[in-house]
Amino acid sequence: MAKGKTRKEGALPPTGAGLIRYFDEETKGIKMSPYIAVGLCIATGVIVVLLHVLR
Amino acid sequence: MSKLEIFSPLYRFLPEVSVPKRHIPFKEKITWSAVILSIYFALSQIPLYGVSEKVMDWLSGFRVVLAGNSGTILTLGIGPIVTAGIIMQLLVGSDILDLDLTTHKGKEIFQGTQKLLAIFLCFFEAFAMAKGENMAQGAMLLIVTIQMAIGGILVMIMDEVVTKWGFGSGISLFIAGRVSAQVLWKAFSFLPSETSPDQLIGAVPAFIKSFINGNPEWTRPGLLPGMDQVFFTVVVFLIIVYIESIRVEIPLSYGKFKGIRGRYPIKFIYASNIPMILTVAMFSNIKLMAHILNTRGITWLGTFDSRGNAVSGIVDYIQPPYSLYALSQEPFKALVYLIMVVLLCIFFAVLWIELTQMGPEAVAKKTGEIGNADPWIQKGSKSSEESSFQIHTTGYGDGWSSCRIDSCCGKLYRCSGNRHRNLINCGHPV
Repeated sequence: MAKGKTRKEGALPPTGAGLIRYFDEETKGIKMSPYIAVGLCIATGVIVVLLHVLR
Repeated sequence: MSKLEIFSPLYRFLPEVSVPKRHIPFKEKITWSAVILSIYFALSQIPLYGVSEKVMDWLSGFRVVLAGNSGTILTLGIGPIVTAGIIMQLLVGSDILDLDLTTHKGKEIFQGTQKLLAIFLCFFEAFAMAKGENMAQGAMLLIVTIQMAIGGILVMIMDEVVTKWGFGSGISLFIAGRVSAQVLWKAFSFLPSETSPDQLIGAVPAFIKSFINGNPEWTRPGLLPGMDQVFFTVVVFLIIVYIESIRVEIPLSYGKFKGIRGRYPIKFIYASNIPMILTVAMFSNIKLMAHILNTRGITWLGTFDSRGNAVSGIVDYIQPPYSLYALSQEPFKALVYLIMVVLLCIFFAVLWIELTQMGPEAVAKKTGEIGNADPWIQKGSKSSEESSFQIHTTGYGDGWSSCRIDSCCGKLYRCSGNRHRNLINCGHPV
């Protein structure tokens, strides 16, 4: 129990590369799973490549 | 509670990657990071649809930190995210926006507004670049703008996936990915340079070639990497690895549980690379603004040559010298750049440390509060009655691009703690 506390103390604030972010907080936004996120990225890439090919 | 609450109805439209409800195993974290990094590299190679000729890179010189790739879907890189972050931090840090970041509500508003601002900046920067560079006309202008803006938003989403499901932050991963690729490319590429076809791109092959020809060249003029850059890259890398590991570990003991000891590590580079990222993002925004003004014929911020490099005005001074050769040509410019970077890094480091509750007072308070701890220095290491410890965040500035050392602020605090009290009092900077 006490050990857990010890570890907690070393925890740094939720930041990444200079930005203060609170990603662990649930917000009201449109939720998507990481699979959807990856799918969106790939889809965008494919669409732009297709635009180049079909022109 | 805050003026920002008027935006809260818009938060429900913001895309958000869900937070994992379970523990993510190591293997899965690696997989997510690797998948996102691969997609990031792939997207940064897909050219924008509707832009035929090669366009000038408005952010050249800052790509090291801003990531992204000019003329591709990821032209904007992490620029909009970081810029939104800076604006929010400055507004909240200066108390212009009254937000209590210790509450859930405050955090939600901060996070939501930052994201809204980032999305707005994606569209704004994309439009400014597309329009200012005459990338396309009419309806095509809109299509090009949308592609770049979506690219910016995708970077935001990818960053969230890495941050929530992978390792560390996505932004750091994108920067590191690009830099690693560039280091390998510029050091070892056997391909001839586009600008001067008789020269090889890679510094090492070019050096070997010149050595075989009986005339070894250590430095190369222009933007071609030379052995001097390879040398400084290695030296700086080793220095940073060493300095990153320097830390002071403050021993803590607990009033409640006798014999249980904890350690609170304080890194020498306390603010890490954060001040440098913020500084470069600020410079890139000044450069972006100068480009926009240039297209309207206003040149007081500076002018550019056909390749997007500044040639006069303020913007000429916010570009790092690219090689020893460039440094020897314009030492005064390099000095001005160095001083500006150091001062801005100190400013951002102090601001960031205070805002993220990493300052000595906040840390001391937290240390005292968590687990009813009673922090004190072990007997003998300091005066025993009024034991004290130091939060010693040090700093130094950084130099030019070939020797970029991440900087952080220089502040020496002395906190004095009394082991008979639960909370320790913090003093002023020594």
